[in-house]
Amino acid sequence: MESILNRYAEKGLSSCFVISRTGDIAIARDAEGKKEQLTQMALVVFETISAIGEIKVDKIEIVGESRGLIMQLGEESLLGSLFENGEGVVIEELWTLLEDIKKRPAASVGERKPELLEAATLEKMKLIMADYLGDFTERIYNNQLKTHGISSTVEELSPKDIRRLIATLTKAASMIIGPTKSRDMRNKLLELLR
Amino acid sequence: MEALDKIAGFIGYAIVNGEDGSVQSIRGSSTAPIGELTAFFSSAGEVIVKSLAMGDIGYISLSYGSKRLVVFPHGPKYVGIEVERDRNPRDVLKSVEASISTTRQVEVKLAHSIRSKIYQINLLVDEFGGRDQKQHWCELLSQGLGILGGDVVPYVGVVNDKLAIKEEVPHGREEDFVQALRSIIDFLVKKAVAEMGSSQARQRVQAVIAKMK
Repeated sequence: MESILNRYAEKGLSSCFVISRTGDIAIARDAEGKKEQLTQMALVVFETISAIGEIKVDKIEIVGESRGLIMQLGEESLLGSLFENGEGVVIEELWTLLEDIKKRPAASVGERKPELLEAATLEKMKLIMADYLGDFTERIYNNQLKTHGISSTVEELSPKDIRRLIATLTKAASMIIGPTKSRDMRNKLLELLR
Repeated sequence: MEALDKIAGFIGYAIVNGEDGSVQSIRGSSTAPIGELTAFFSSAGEVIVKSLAMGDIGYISLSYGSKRLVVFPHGPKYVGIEVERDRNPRDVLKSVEASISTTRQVEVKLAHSIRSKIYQINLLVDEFGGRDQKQHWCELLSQGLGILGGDVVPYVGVVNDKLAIKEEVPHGREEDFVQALRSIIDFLVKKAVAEMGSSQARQRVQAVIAKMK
């Protein structure tokens, strides 16, 4: 992994790193001196993400006066770059390079492939929702899929993504049918995951 | 920061006290917990920029699903603004600066069908809210926009207790907008039935129909 990160450092992506939730780290040569601070930073990010369960943040960009940080988050690890901020820095170009690394099979440390759900689960969810939300179903369902970045034509689904989707569908439904009925709907939706 | 209500493309925003992280206000129709996101990430951001010697925070951008939250310091506070994911965070900051330094009114041209639905929604909010409950019905309207508005949300917002279009509707999308606004009308009527009973709600809907003639 380090050799890939070093190669991208030569392409202009400075101080690249991959850090897992458990603290495993792969780091480019030019970032060796910041290893400890980057590991601490990752810990802060993972803790913050865990505190906000219902939203899946997948990209973070922090821009300070003198340096910037871009990070792409997976379920178990984050891939990022710390760069000097100044005239001529084009952050979009740095993101392109980072996304290029992400596509490589070795671009993670400690990442486990979760068991996936079949796509038909989404259709089953919609049928359950229709019993509770009637004419509002289609619009709420489509809006929440979009909010979570889930394509309706996806072939497999991560159970974590579906749990997040169910949480926000329940919240939206609660505004229309009230908390008791929406809790009932949520329980039926969660049964699909068992 | 009321100027933010009028900026096209802003779905919602949260203002957080930088000292203790308390959420001071949340406005707009975002369905994400933007208050918590702004509070947690501004605090995490402060720790991170310090440990990595990054200088003062310019902004923090978080991408999730189809949305982006841009968090930035504003005096002793942090502001978190939700926009569509494809918006550039630096353009968001420029829009904020421009809105604070100008009071320019933007004239938006609207199709008759959209204008009529917006008029109907505002009449419903007036009628259901009366003098005492107007704020409550404006909040319900924002919630309805959040869960049912979909692609319409960046273009509309509640400004001075009225639903308003902030930006011209893209050509060819008028019917989508009308459908979304229609579902918001259904939502408001359903809420009225739940809160005041079907006979009272029907009377008020009829009063709105009479005003629209």
